[in-house]
Amino acid sequence: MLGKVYSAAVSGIEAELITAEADVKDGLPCFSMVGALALETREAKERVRIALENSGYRLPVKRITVNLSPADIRKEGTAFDLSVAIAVLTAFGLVSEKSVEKCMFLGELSLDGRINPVSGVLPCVCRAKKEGFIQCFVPYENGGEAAAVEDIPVFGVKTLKEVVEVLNGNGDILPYREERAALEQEEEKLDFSEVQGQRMAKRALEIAAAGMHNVLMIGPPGTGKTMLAKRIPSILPSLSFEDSLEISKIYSVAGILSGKHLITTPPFQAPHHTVTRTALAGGGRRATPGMISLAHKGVLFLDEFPEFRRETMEVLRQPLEERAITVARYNATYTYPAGGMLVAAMNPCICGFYPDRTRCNCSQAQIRQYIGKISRPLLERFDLCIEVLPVRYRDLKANTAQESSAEIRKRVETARKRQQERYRGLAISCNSELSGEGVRKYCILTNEARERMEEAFDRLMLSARSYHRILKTARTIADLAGTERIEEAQLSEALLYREPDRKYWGE
Amino acid sequence: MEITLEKAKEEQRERHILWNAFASFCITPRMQEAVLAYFESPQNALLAGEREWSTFFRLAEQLRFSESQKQRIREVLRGEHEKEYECLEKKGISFITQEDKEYPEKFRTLFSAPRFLYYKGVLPGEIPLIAIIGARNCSHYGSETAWRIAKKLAEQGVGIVSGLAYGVDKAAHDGALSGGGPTYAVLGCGVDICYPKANERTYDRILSEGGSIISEYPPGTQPLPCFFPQRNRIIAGFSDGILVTEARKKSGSLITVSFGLEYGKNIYAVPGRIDDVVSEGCNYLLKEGAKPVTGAEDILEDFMSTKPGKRKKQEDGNMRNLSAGPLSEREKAVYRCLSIHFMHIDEICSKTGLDPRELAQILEALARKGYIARHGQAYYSVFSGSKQE
Repeated sequence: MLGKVYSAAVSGIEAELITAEADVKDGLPCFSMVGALALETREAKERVRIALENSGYRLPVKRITVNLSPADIRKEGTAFDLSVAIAVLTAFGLVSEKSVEKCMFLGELSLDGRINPVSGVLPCVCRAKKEGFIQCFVPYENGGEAAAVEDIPVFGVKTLKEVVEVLNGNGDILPYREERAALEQEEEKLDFSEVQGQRMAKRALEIAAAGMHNVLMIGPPGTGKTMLAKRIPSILPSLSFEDSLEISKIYSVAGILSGKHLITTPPFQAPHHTVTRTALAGGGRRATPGMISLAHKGVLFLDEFPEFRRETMEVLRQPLEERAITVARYNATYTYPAGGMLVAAMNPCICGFYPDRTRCNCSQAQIRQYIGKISRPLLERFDLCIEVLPVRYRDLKANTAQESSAEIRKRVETARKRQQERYRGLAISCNSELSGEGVRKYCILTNEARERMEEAFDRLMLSARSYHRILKTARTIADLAGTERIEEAQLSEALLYREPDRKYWGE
Repeated sequence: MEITLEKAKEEQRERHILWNAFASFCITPRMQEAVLAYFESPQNALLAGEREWSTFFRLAEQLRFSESQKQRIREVLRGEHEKEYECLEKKGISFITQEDKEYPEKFRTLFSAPRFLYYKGVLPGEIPLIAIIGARNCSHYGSETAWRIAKKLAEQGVGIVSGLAYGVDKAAHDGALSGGGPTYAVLGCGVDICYPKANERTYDRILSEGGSIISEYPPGTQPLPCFFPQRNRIIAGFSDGILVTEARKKSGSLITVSFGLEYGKNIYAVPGRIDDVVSEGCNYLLKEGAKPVTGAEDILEDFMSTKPGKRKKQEDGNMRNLSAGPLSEREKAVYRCLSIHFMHIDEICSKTGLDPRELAQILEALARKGYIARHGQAYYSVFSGSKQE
């Protein structure tokens, strides 16, 4: 007798269909599993056998062989336990073959027959829907995320017995249901109105949010760099359902979605500077998305930027350009999206007060060494650079009404809409993603602005890359202002945010 | 007549060879004195045998010669002195001793004058020399002032002496070069070494513009901290007046000043704000009686004998004539709130009440027209030319 049941394995942030086949033959009693299994996956045979017995299914003394196919894909993790158990039950005829058709099973079994949560449920359910499956069984704790996928009934199950009852038509549990509104829980948000002063920085962050530009903030300690950065998600446009699903998939694969239903606000990730390359970029023994992917469509904030190890910093270069990161493992290559904006903060020198020489007594060599930790190619990937001034007591005390995040967000959303309209049909959605070709096509200057640019190019000795970056920033400023062409004033403002002169920093 | 001239030249060369060899093992003045006190002349020292040297080492116990130093001396004694001197000539490095008539007159009367000097380029003629010195880690105010005053002085035919260090020193050299005057750098290492390396452009320009690089240390000597106070004594002795633009309370600049006082030079200082740590040294000098300087004229009047009464109206520190410029009202307003000190764009915002967006355009226009300079990303100051963007 043969039982055949579907499950899925995560690959990158997508899922592959996996079939669990169980065969029961006469012979010496034995339970063996094949199909390129990792250690923890192979151990399923013990969990399944005992869980079945403890759930009240006494297995006849037979030779059981389970194959997870396709057999050439390496399977890791414990999410196949449930499908193996159901396949065995089908092989013994305890569950009808018809009832498991077009069903997907995900979950780890514990010895008493309970079903434990697993990671990566969301992409698996998405795949099931794409394949035209009629229902999914997932661990109860993962029910929320799975229910986010529309038009496919999902059962959040607690025990093996429940699954069998539902399949045999005598269970009384209903598919997991969640109102969309409940999925989009509003979290308590930080607000820009809490930041006093810093007009320039706020303006720069508004531009950055509108075009998803990378920002570098330089300033003495305690000037509010971190405070500003933490508030960026509050002015980013709210996520579309597709974006939200994509981000949630990443979180699901990383196994940190539990408790929440979907990620509905732009994520904010702030790794400590001791973070390893793998934790930042993704990978590891069992490939998982790194911080850079967890910040997809949101903010990756690197505080104390020069303190990061050089190899960690440099790993950011390629994903910043391609908005995706590819991790090669010995048996597969995974690609994770990495389309967040990078926000970095740093002190200008070790003591942090340069160029205020009344407080900073760092030597030029020390300053150069500190700044020099950030390589030129990396520095050039920041579209905007701002120096943050220490807040004066006057500003702190003044407590004047500051613009709220909602007001800023309104402007950002309008600008973003304009970009999406312009780039309809293209693979990009915001100005920072423009290629050199795109810059030529979409960043059109007025005559006065062109003159200004030509003059500035020579005077400031810009590189081709800086030139493109300034035009992209100017494009976003023009989008915020709502003009078709980039005007002189907008270009002037973009010039204001170009990276600090190496001459000044290095000399 | 010609024969005597040639003979004199020959003699001078002989002498140089000896002194150069002497210099290569007697680096510090203290050691030079000790060796000369014992051997009486470099020639005797070089010709003396192992036994005499051993006696000397025993007697000069307080100098604490290390074994490697002794070894080095013995090596030099055995070396080929003439070849070494030829090497010097090939590198384009000149050498003078106290016995040469080219030796700067100013030094002859000084206590602890250097017995010999190495230099590249041309030594100054009969022109007034002003040393402009100050902190390496200076503020923009310090380097800017040094640059301006050096430029003005150089334009009036005054030679500028400094030490080629970061900060004020470099600004002084650069200012003098912009003013088209010769400038002289006294180093704490061999003249063939540019220290710090980053000032190589200035080093080259000093030579190409008719100035010189001077040192009492033989070529190849690496900069050691203990050489710099000695270097400062040469700066002080070399110049007719010493201007300090910015210095902390405990600094090398004040060492130079104390040498200058010993030598009877004029001391000038640029006043700073009383709460500025970087100006503490200057303010201290002013209290002690240094002449306050707010412009090059304050120094020039002491050296230029021409009609002191007809002095031109001193230019007000930094302001340019605004009426001449084709500036709009708002541009003028922004320009007026800027000064020689760095100002953050947020401060300009709150001072002028302009929106950052508007301000960006105005600042860009002012920078383009050459009225202001940008430093880093968000700091601005009025422009004088010392720091090109």
